[in-house]
Amino acid sequence: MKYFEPDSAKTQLGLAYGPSALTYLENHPEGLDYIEVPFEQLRHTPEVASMQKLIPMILHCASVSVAGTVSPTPATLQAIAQAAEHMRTPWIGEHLAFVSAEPLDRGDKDAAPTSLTYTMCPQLSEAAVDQVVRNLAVARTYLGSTPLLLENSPQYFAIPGSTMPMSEFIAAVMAQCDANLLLDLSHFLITCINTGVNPRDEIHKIPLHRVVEIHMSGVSQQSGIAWDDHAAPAPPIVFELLEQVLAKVRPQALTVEYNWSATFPQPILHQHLQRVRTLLEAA
Amino acid sequence: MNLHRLHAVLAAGVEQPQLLEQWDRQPGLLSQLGVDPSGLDLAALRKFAGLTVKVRHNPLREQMPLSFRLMSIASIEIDMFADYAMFRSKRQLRYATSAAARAGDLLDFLADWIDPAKREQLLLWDVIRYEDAIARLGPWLEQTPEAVDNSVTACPRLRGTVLLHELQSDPRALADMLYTSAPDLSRVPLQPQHLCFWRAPESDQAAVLTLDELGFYLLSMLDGQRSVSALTQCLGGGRDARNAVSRGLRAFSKLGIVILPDRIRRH
Ligand SMILES: [Fe+2]
Repeated sequence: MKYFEPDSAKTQLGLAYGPSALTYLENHPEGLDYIEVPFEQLRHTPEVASMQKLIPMILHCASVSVAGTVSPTPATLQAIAQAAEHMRTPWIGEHLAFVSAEPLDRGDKDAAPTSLTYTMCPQLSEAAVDQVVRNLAVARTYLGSTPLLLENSPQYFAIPGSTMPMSEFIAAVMAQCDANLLLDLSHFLITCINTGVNPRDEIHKIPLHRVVEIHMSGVSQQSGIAWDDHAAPAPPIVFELLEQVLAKVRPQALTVEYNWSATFPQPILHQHLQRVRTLLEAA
Repeated sequence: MNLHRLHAVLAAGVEQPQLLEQWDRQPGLLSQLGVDPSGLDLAALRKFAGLTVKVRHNPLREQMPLSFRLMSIASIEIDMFADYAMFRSKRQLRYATSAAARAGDLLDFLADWIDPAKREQLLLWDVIRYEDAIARLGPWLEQTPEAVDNSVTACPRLRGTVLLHELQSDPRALADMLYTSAPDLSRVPLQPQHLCFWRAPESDQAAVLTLDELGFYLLSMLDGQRSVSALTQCLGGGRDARNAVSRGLRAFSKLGIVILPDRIRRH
């Protein structure tokens, strides 16, 4: 088995698990340092774990519902802990978001929580920050010493009851907990576009010294909103933001997330990885 | 605004978009749930539900790369999947587990959703049926391969599996356009196409044949029950019709798509 060895002098480069990543790995076995695999994928198809014979893996996760008001079941948290231990992942990247919420009907004591298939941006408020802190304390009791990184959510519309912008919310969470940051530059850009702020200025409001991992993917603009799009290549501004971030911090890992489409063009994937590598070397 | 109640409302709206329409009609319902209706962008939440359903359909991309690329270039993915999410939510339909069934459900929805007056939607309706047919006769084929049955029967019949689609454009021409640096959908010619997707018993993939109207009609009428005379009657009867049917059937037989009755073979 191959395990991810963090190297403070070097940013390691990986791809998010998906059919296009597997094709790339087959064609360029030396071209990647790791593959980032979602816990939910491992739970669904445990055989994916055997890929670790070829390449180190990092565990990503969307099941802790860190910013949510409904905790995952102990069984889920135990399964995440087990996967992390088995993989010897350097950390678990988890969305600063929620995937489950209380049932709509408050009166129905038997109603099950609503489970989402996709993580959702939480209310950006002091109450949500406190909730994150409480949720992390619970998760910590299961996850042992494996660090958690929190990944900034893309914000698509104004969340009612919010009292602060996303950058301030991230900073507030970072100030109150020991988890570091997984900065998804595309999510960050999407949030800036949808909330009408300049990403080149806003990036400096993010606690960049806490960034341990970076994500990059595509962005599509449709129906008046910018959307996360892992089937599209990252736009030039994401590379520009990456340069700005690298001027301030040396993350340990950078994951390119082009994982939604089995037919993502391999030449573009290769070209973008080369471009990222060049930026990392120049930083 | 209470975090618990807000998250409950957001999550319910995404999972059951029909609630969004109810809340839009009766904002008081939202107030009863503890959320100020004036602060909640229901239209954006509806689009977000579309994003989540779009992501659920990622497994289809492998067999439908052109359809997804077209939707992306035409910027219609979010609106289309938001409408689809609403459609399924109103009918309380769950999403199928297999890619083939999920694609089938999506095509059923699109049959009504597509507005043929909108060029990008017309092209989508063509290309998605094209890719669906190829996948259905290839990786999605459910039936276990049967022994090749070349036996002659009294009526002409199809050999292998055939799907027929009448399209308004040629998805192969669209494919060339989609992979240019600046795709211009207005330059994809609109021209009726009669396509036959055929998987021969000895093959593991579909062949795509472009037919004329007569050939298309003839294949669509072949059910193994209709005799050559009955097929001739379908075309109005008479000598010309009979000759046309015979010529057509022989041509198909030569390609291997049709098994002819002995009587026709001998002629
Ligand atoms: Fe990400």
